[in-house]
Amino acid sequence: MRREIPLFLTIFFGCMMVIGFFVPHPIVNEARSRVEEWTIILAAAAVVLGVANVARIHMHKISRRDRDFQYSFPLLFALFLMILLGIVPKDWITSMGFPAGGTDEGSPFDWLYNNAYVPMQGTMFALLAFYIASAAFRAFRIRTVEAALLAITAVLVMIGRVPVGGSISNWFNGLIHLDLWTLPEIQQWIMDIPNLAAKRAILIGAALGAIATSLKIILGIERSAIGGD
Amino acid sequence: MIKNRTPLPASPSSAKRLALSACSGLVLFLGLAALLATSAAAAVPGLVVRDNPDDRGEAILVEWDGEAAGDSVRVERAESEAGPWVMRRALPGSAARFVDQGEGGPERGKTYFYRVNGQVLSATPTAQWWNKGRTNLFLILALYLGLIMVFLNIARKGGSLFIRKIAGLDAMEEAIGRATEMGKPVLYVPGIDDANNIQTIYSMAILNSVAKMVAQYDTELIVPLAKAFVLPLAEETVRSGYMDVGRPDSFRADNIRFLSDEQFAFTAAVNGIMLREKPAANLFLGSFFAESLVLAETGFTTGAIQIAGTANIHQLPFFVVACDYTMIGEEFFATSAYLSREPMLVGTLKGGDMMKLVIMVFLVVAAIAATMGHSEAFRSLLVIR
Repeated sequence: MRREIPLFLTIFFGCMMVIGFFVPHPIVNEARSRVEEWTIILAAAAVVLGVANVARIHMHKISRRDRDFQYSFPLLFALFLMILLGIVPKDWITSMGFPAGGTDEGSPFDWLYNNAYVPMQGTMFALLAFYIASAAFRAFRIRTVEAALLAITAVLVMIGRVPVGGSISNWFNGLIHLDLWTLPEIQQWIMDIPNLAAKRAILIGAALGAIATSLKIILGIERSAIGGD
Repeated sequence: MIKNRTPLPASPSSAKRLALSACSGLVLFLGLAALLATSAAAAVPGLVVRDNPDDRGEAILVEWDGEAAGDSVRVERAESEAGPWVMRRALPGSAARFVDQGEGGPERGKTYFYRVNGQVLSATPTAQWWNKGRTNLFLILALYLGLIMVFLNIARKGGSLFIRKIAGLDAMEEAIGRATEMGKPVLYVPGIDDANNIQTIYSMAILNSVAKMVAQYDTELIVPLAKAFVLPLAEETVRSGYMDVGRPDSFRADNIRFLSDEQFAFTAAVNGIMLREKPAANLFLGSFFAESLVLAETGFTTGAIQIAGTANIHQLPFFVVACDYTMIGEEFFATSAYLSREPMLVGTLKGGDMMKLVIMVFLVVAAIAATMGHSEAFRSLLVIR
């Protein structure tokens, strides 16, 4: 029964969602909307599980004195501080002299979010620029014919997308007195024709894979996702 | 006897009254004539008021000939022919249609009267049992399902079905073996999307296969999660993988870790795991976004074997560059069939391949038809409402 019940629920609700897509009648549609509402409620309840998981793992780490256990202290402190600031009555916080309570603008929760979390998130995102540079350096090393093609295409697209690409083309065309394709035109052609064709091919394949996977799960052919063979 | 009477001279006040009455009559006459003329001019040609098709019965469609209609069209609604009329919308004549729905829209089963530039017509919204605008999609889905069933049947009967080599999937066992030799853990990241994304659900199916391999080798498996909703799913999947190979004792619940549902907090935490616990194999299989390169590059610096797979095409270049193996789009969805070689799963995979063939044939025919100037017929076949 441990595997049959989840399988039955998957098949039942999966079929209901598919039928609801084709049948607009309120009898089917309202049931579908209700199921979607349940999903939201379940997702909200799952946050409790998530918090419990974080707390359990880090408490275990501290109690076992695992490697780097000291980092678990600030994590648990920040976790419980934010929960506390978010759930204590707003009046208590305002009575302590803060302009607002709860998660409202100006509350300590809001201040910590904007002044601690947001800058840290920005820092992480900013790292992406350096990672792109290092990844591009490796990707454009010309070792094979394919790598050479990739590097040439990338250079054409990169130069064609900045104003200097247009200037170089105009200067060159003027020099040889010919009306050849400019770098912006070449990069546009690369993006619109070969790139788009490949992208669409991948998209069609991925979409078909997604549909097949959904059907397999709904029909109970693929059961490993619900913990069973 | 009729007496010839000289009419009495009208008093100045009665003459004024007479003139006033004549003028009023004239004004009234002209006003009525003008009103009639205006009504005739503003009549909406081709006006049709009917139940909006293929919906749940909460909308009425007002249509008219957009080319022949005047400058503006006023749509008013009432519950009886006598009114009172409620203004619903004033539109330019060229709009050609108005769907009365949403806030203050019609109720199912109730008859409404619509006055459109003076013309009154009625309609009753009703719910439909089938959305005709999606019949084409239903037929495509039925064809796809039919193909899957055919190949499923072939696979059940023991027919041989070929799957091409996918290097990334072949390397998975090698990566786990390497981690075992080095005595280091395997990191499995199932993306950062929720359980309502098919990639996340499918990632759980792959996780099950990975958990079995890892359990057989008795290696540590770390699964960081970005969505709390995925946590019980991942926990159960890994646990069942360990149980299936008879090693339930090796399962460690503490290794299925919910980190944060904030994208870059999650990324930072996974990077921390990579740098501190130094997994020997990193598997990124699921739905990824801007964090893909940050994760893959950090993994690269730690020297781990990295295998990625996603259907989010914008992240594929990043994985291709930074990982040893990348499964592109459909390859990702072939993983569980490829790893398990279970006939039922392989059958569905071949059904998908056949559908791709059907699409390719359709695209070639459509391209030829479009070249010959018949693209409209194909386009109308594919419109989904």
